Amino acid sequence: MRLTVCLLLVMLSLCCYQANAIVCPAVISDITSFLFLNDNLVKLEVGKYNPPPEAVAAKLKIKKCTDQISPGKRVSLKESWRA
Amino acid sequence: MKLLMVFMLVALPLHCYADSGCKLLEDVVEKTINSDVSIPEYKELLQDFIDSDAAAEAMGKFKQCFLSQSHRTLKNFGLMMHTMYDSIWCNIKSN
Repeated sequence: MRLTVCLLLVMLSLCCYQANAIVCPAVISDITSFLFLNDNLVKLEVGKYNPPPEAVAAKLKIKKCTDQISPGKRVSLKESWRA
Repeated sequence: MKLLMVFMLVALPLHCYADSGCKLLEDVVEKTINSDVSIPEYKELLQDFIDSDAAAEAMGKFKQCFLSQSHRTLKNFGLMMHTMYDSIWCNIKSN
């Protein structure tokens, strides 16, 4: 029994270590939509988190600026963060 | 004692998953939002991820978009990111 518990704790700690190295897929999806999709699709994407309205408004406000960056440079941004 | 051990075993993975899953990403987001971090400092912090002049220029323009925002907007953007990290969508196993 004690050995089983110890093994379980070691396995869980390894799982947690991996969790700290793997970005939540929802965050990756959010970054992609923020960089490449229009405002309505971004609103749809973030809606599932049920965020406060002011949080969504802030995101869209900043997006108005990042949308001015050329699409090619936005691709290089996304590629850099995948490194 | 056994019940406590079961609770701990259940709580531990939930705690580990109650974030973006990647501390490095959260640090990058924090540096992006932080108005005390200048564009040159931002590029230096992210230099390991910059593999071209185009990427460097893009990083600078991206950071500038955040530097030109009010404190309130930056705070609310941070709130949006944390809402995401704390949601069930980042609390489920991803692999």
